[in-house]
Amino acid sequence: MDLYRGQYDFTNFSTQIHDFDPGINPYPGGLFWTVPILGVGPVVLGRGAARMSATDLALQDFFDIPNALFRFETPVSVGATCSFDVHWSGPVTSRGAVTTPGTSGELVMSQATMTWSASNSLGFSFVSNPSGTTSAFAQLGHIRNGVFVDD
Amino acid sequence: MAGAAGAAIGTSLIPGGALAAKPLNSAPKPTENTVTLNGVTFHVTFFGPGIDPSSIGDFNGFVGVAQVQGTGTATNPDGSTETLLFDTDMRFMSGVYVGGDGAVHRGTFGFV
Repeated sequence: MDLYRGQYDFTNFSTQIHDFDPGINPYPGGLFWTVPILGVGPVVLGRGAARMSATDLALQDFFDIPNALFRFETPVSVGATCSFDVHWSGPVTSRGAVTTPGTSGELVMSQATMTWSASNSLGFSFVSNPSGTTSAFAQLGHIRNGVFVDD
Repeated sequence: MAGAAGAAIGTSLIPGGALAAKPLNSAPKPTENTVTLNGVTFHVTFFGPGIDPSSIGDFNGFVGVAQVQGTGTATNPDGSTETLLFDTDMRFMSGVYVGGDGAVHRGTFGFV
């Protein structure tokens, strides 16, 4: 979850001031920004519907994506927590097979909304505005990869 | 996966302590798909049509991706407030996976 001041800069990240993620464990070849969560479901692929939520999830504020990836700032990160609620609402606008080598399955395109909040140990906090969000990309699917591939 | 269409799960029924109490070696393994940036290799993929978005390998289950953008109110350490833009890459993986211990486990994971 990333915060920008004034405008997005997805090239140089010059306007990004916060990056909340769980880190890469172990760094750099381990699980990437991935942690156990409890609040997922129900997933209904036929309607493009699902929900994911968490409350007071512990993570880190790495301040910007380049630092989260390459860890060159001091301190690298500070402790943080976040809460979020993501809704995939549909409708399904397209569907297709997974094309990644080593994976089989189906993916459907949908629509999503999200509300979230976060704070860090330095005293910064953020609460999203629930209105006016843009679903830039929303996808659901069922996949098999690795030893579970069936094709 | 035609059989998956219309299927539903309710992983919120999994007891909270069940995941937290798992030993470390039952943790999932990172995806074998990688991205190399500035000479550093990360086990992750970008999302997109047709792309497996899972950040874990040896996985069989449901996935979701949401890139949502918007605004919100920030409160800085000095008490000042300002409006900031947000951009998110939120994903989930819910199903079965082969853990680092070689055993099959059921779990739900968020990419945050």
